[in-house]
Amino acid sequence: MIRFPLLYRLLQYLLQCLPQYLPQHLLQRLLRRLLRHLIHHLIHHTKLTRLMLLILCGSFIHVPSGVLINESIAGGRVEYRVGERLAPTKKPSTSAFKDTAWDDLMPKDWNPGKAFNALNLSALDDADPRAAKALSQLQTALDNAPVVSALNGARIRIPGFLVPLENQRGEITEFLLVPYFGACVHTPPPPANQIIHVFPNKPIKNDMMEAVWVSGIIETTRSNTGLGAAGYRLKAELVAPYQR
Amino acid sequence: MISAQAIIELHNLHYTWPGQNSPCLVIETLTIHSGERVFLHGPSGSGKSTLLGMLGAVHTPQAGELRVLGESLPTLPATQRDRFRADHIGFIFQLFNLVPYLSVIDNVILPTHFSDRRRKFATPERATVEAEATRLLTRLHIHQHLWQRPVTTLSVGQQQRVAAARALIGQPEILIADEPTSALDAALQEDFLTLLMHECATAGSTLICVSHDQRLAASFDRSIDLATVNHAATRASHSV
Amino acid sequence: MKHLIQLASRSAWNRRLTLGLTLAAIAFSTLMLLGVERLRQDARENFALSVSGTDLIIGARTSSVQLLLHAIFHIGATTTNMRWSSYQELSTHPLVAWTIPITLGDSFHGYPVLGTTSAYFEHFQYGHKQALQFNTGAPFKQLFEVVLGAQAAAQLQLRVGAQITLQHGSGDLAHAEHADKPFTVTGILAPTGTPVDRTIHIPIEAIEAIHLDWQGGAPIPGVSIGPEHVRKFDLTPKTITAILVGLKQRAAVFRMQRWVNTYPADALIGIMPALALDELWQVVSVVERLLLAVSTMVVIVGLIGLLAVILASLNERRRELAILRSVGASPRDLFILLTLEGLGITVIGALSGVALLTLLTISLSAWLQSHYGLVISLRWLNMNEIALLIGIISIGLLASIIPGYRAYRMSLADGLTPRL
Repeated sequence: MIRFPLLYRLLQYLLQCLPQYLPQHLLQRLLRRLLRHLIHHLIHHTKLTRLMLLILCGSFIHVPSGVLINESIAGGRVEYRVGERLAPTKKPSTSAFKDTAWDDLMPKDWNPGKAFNALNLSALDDADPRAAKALSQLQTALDNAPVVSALNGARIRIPGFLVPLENQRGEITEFLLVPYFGACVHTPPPPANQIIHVFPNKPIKNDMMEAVWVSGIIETTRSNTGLGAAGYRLKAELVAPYQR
Repeated sequence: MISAQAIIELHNLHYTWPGQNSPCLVIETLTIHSGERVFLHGPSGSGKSTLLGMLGAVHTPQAGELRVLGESLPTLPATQRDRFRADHIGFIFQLFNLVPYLSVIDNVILPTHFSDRRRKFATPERATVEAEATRLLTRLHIHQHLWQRPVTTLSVGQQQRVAAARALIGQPEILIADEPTSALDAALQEDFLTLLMHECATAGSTLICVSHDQRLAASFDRSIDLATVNHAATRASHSV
Repeated sequence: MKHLIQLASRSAWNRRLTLGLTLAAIAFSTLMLLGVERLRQDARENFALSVSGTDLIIGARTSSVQLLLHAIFHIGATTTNMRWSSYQELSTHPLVAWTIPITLGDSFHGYPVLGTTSAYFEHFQYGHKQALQFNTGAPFKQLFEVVLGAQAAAQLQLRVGAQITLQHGSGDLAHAEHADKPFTVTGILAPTGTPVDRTIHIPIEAIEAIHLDWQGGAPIPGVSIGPEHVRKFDLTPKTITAILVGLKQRAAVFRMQRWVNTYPADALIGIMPALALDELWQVVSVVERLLLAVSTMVVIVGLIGLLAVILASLNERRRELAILRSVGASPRDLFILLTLEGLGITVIGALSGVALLTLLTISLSAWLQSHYGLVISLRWLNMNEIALLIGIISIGLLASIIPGYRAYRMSLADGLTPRL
């Protein structure tokens, strides 16, 4: 019945490719059925050359429309929850950059919550001013978080969420890297030693709050604000998307 | 000049139109020799056009043998049949012979686009196909001022002669004419046929002319009555 | 193959009226699709280049997109203003490197009037951290002095030293004018390709000055305070629209933002410009996608028209196809012939659309820039647009196959003697 088995297999492959770009289920199934009918009819009633021409046309459409649809529908965009952190990857770094965790950026002996935890919360009334005061003291401690000076000049590789600072023509030339999603919007800001000010050596394409791997040389900066706080700065040699 | 070589041979030919119950053509035997001028005569509905289509490698018989120029046409695949027709056969129809959006010259050189053999024969000693076309047109009394005109401005007689030139270019072995004179005035009919036959003789082509008009039979070497040759009509009556 | 192309073009030329109309349809639909795409990209680029080097924009509590649009693009309005005292406290915050206070509300012949300080000309950046440059003149120093953006100066034909009077409210209509207090142009900025070009900059105290004898948007009847007397009054603003802030340490932006959002004395919001812009795009992207979908539909409609025209002509051409068959064309040749016709019209139509787009860009770019501040660049097609063009042509090709196939089947059935 099938005079051109190779062709049929080619067409089946095409059919399998299409679902990548079309919306799900019903439309897919309908289209598949339609295509099968059409192809069956064509194989029996047309010449080889015409069939090849048709396949060429079909695949021709396949490509640019796929580009279009892919671009317009935000396909493949991973949704993160506010406060979500990135899981450490199973694949360790193979390059000269050392895999670093966000905890490594905090000095081991730093414990901002000491005073807060010492407070016996159950002994306080609701709206006790001491609770609010303790909270603001905690916040101040977080704001003045110290850096790990040993990291100055180290080549590290660290995953995080990207918060753009300079964004021109869809390219980001300066950004902040934070450990968890939504650091700018809803949750209290991260402590000063959990924010990295990144300068990529090449502008990168824009996508808000995307998770990225950043590899480069990290520096500790001394604060000039008089508040006693410092921070981290990183010249990124490589910024790659973070795959779950 | 008639040679003994059989250029067309039919044996036990059966042809049924798709969707019909009874065959349209049933021919036991028919042989046409090279260089002959054959007049196929029959009323409308006797299967003339079908037979021409068969000879022109357009339709394939369901049964029987059909040999043209030594080639068994039914066994050829479709693409080769089209090429065969392009290479060896020229057609003249009753009306609307010419492609309306091409000029006279372009109509005449059409066959050379589709057939390498005819293009080769139309360009002896490095001449162009247009030169050959103009030569044929002149011989068929189509004057120069008409050559670049759109074909719709020509009279029917002129159109038929242009069609003849197109059929003749590149010296095809067979010329098939389907009612070529039926649209012409009585006065012009004989002139046209004479001209056509003269050119066929020069080119050495076989002429097969089909018509319902008996009066033309006199000019031809041979006259075949299709009703006698085609046994399909005796078996069942059908309207076409 | 060449002869088939020749035949197809001759045949199409013969029917040039009807085919020409479908060609125009395809050209215009291509224009629409490519135009929408190009406008979208250019608008985004334009917007993104309007602010740089600014860490926070602070204003009265409102949505971040609204604040961004109003403070940077001078589009829309904010419902309330923030207190001058908040600005003062903010300027002294240890994390802050510089601040630029701005007030909007007045207009001059449709161009927005911005009240600000000299800090604006020192610290404001656009594009890739480019500072503002002066073409002629210098920033304002006195009370009734004004600095014009490049576009505003060019359109209004004003030079350094000219005098203008401002009107109340942001609109083109001749509202009540502050005719008694004319302003002198002291400087004209170099073009930036941003909303700065269309803005009229005056000292922030001047906004107070021109409203001294006004109340609720109109002059108080019987009260008139001449320009020489205004300086006797306290011209410190009570409220301002927004502040642009630069920090000493950019990484401290979250801290500053939290400080602003929890500031007890005033209801404030601090936004990061890059993030607010992203939010804007998210809102706009829905409309963008819709526009793209509609334009694609229009292209498909145009191609269906082409299909209909060619199919309709097919019946009349059965005789012609039979002639071609008699001359030696195979059914495959006829298929190619018909397909070539449709494909040719599609390609020429699409390319005409591109030509139309170029023409329109040339003719409208000046108008768009002066009225909307939108800079549409004249450039070659980028990858995205080429992909769209290929998409149009391939859909046209697939559509043309249909009459080709029909011609094929018809010629097979008709043979040399079509039943007309």
